Amino acid sequence: MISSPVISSPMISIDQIDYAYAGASVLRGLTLHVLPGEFVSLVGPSGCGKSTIFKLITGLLAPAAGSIRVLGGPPAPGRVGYMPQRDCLMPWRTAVENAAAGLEVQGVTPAEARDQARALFADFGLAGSEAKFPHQLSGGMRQRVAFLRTVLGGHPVLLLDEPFGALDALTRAQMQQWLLALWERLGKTVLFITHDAEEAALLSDRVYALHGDAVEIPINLPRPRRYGMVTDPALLERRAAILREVGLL
Amino acid sequence: MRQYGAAGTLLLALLLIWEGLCRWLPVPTYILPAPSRALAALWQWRGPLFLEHLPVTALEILLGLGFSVLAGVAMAVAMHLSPLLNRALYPLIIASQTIPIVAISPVFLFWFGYTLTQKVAVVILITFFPVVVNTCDGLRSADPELLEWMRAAGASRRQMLRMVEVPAALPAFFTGLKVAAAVSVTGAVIAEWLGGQAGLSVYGRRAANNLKSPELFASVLLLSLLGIALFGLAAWCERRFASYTDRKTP
Repeated sequence: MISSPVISSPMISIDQIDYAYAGASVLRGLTLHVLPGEFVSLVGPSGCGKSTIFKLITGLLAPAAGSIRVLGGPPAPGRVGYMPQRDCLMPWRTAVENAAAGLEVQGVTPAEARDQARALFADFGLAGSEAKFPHQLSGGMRQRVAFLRTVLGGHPVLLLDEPFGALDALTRAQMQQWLLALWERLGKTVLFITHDAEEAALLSDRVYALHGDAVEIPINLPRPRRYGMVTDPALLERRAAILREVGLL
Repeated sequence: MRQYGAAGTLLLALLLIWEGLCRWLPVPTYILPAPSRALAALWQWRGPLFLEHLPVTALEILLGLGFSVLAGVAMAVAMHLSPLLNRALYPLIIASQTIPIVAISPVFLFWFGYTLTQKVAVVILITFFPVVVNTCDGLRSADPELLEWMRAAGASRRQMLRMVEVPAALPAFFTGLKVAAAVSVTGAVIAEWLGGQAGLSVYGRRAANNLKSPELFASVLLLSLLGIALFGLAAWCERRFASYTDRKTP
C-alpha cells in the first residue's frame, strides 16, 4: 500500500454478508463500501433489507455470514451517527433538549450538551425554535432537529434512513437543497437510504441499487450541487440508470 | 374555573331540591337530613371533627398512599427490568384485584389490632394496584423506535430507563396516582369501620349507631372533600411534572 491507510481505508466495508429473518433470506452475498467523505445512497423497494443493513452497521443485528468493518473495527453501538426513518424525537423535550440527547448519551452533562446544541441552531435553520416542543414544529423542522441530534454525536459517519420519506414533495425538495448545502460544509461521510431515485442521484457520489445483493452505480456529477440540477439531462440519465437497476425501467 | 361551572351549578341545584324536599315533606331527620342540618352539625362539632378525627384519617391515607407510590413504582421498575419478575408478578397482581378487600380486611385486625398500621395496611391494599399496573404499562409504552435509536447511539440500560422510559411512563403513572388518590378514602373508611379510637369514619359510625344522621353526613362530607383534595393534588403534580401532555394540541 502506497497511499496512506487513513485516506484509503473505507469508513464502512461490508463483505459478502448473509442475513435471514424468520427463515426468509433478506440479504445474500451483499458487498459494499463507503470511503471517507463520500455520500453514498442505498436505493431499493420497501422490504429489500435497506434498514436491516443499518441495524447490522450499528451492531443492533449480527449477520449470519460475511464480515462488516466500521471505522476499521467490528460494528458496535455508539460508533456511527444514526438517524431513523421517523424523527423519533422525545415529545417531552424541547427542540434544544432533543438535539442534545445524543451528547447526553455519550456522558456530556445536560447543560453543556444544550449549549453545544443551541450554538448550531442557526446553522441548521432552526433559530427561534429552541424552546418549542416537537408537536409545535413542522415535519421538516422536526427532521432538522433529528439531523442536528445525529450530527452533534460527533461521529465521522452518519447513517440516514429515509429522512425525508414522510415529507410532502415541496418540503422534501427544500430539505434536499438544505442537506446539500449543509453536507458540503460538515465534511461527514454519509450512507443514505431512500426509495427515491431522483433524490439518490441528486445527493450522492455513488449509489447502490439493492435487491438481495448490491449493484454499484457511479454518479460522477460535479459539486457543489443544488436542487435545480434535478432537471439537468446528466442527472436524469443517472436517475434512469438507478431505476433500471432496481427493475423499474 | 369555567370548566367546573356546569357541574357546580348542577350540584347546587340538586342540593336546593334536596333541601326543599326535606323542608316541605314530612321526612324524619334520621332518614334523610337536610343539607343545612348536616352543615349545622359540621359547624357544631367542628372541634372534634377537624382537630381529632380528620387528622387521623388524613394520616392513614397519606401514609398508605405514600407507601403505595414508593413501593408500587419500585416494583413496576423491577418488573420492567426483569422479564422473569414480570411474568411471575403481573398475573398475581391482576388476580389480587378479585379479592374482595372488605372481606379480607378483618385479617389485618388479627395481625395488627386496632392500630394505625392496620388502617394504613387496608389503604395500601386498595391503592397499590392502580399505581403498579399503570406505571408498568407506562414504562412499556415507550416508543420502540426511539429506544432503538438510543441503543444505536450506545446508550446504557440505565440511560434508556432515565431518558426515555421514565418520561414516557409519567402520564400513565399520574393516571394511576389519581385513581389511587380517589379510592384511598374508601380504603380508610373500610379500615375505620372495623373499629378504632378516632377517624372520620369511626365518628360517622358512632353517629349512625345513635341515629344522628346530620353528624354522619357531616363526616361523609369531610371524607369526600378529603378525596377531592387528594385528587386535586395528584392532578396538580401531573401538570407540574408531565406538563407536555397538556400541550398535545398545537
